[in-house]
Amino acid sequence: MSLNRTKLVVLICEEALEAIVAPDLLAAGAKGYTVCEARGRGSRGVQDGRWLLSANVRLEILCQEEVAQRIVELIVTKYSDNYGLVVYMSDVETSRSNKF
Amino acid sequence: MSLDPVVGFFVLGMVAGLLRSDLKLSGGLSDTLSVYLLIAIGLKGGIELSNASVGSLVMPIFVAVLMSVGTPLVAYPVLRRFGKLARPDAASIAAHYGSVSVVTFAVAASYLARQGVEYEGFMSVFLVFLEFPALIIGVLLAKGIHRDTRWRMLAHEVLAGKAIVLLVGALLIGWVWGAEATQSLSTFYGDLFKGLLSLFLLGMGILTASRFDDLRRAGPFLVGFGILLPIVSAAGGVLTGWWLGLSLGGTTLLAVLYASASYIAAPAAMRIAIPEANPALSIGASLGVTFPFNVLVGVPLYHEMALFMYRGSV
Repeated sequence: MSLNRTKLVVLICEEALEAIVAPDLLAAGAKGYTVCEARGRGSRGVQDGRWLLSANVRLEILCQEEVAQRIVELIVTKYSDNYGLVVYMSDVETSRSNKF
Repeated sequence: MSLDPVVGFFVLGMVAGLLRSDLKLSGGLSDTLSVYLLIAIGLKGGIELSNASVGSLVMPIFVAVLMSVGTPLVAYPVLRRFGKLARPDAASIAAHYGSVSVVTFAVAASYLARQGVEYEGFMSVFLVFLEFPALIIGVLLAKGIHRDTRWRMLAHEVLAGKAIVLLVGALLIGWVWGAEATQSLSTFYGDLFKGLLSLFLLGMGILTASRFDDLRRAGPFLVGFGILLPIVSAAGGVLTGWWLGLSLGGTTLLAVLYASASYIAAPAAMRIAIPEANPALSIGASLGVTFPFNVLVGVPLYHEMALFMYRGSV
């Protein structure tokens, strides 16, 4: 099976940001994303998401390099001042990379 | 003991949280319980509404909503001038205090029932209409009428939010079917109400304890604000309820609604509309100070204030 190099962008942020950021991701060229709930500790304290408040989400986007650059730049300039978030990217190998 | 035993569960939750007990309630349970509480409160109001004339409610609701605008408009300059808070923070906190807390309302209704004080069953209709105007005022205070504001998203979040959908939906169901047809639901939504409220309050206690850290950062001003503003707002509620000719119980509940601060709908809406505001300040004040104050001290106090008004006017 042939694998192709693709970029994986990971955004961990407060739950409220998901609905706001999703249209931006698609506009930047992402063809899709995966979301799951996340919890942990960071500079804004513990986010354990157990009761009503403080839930975090983890968004993963597989995309081509230029899209990944665009997404990271957009998230950092537009949202990092006002929302708690962590964003990073890495190289991954995917099958059927034309999907991304 | 004049306090309702459900309040004991709130204290228990707080103590467990402060002791760092491993007692934790899951997020799924809080969702389930809040769905239940909203339906139960809406249904009860709807059933009562089926016995009242809806037309006669238009004016009182209009006046109650108009007067409720006073809370954020008083809170904002106080927070700006005396609290030295930045504009977005002051506006967001003002919105939290202008909006209402469903659970505080439920605790007050239980308190009145235990005291044997009657109140208008349609008071939950007020809940629906008092929840969102302050959120819009908060955004206007923060930004004016600004093109950048995510108005559409905010409107969707507020009007299609769980609280409004369930309250309005259950109100309509209760109103359409009436007391007799909904009899079969009364065991679940009526008799079990206090038990499930006690579970919710247990979770609220744990959550409140986890917010005390935010308070230390927010400082003494917000603590004082979180206690004094509700008392002032409650006085406004007592005057409004009395002027509208509500019963003693109805006036007490209106005062509780004016005094309560939102900690579910408002934080979600403010994160979308005023992202510059620090949520730790507003949630710390509404959940760390005002919610416990209202549940433990405020409800009996506002009842006394209403009693004073009604005794004086006889």
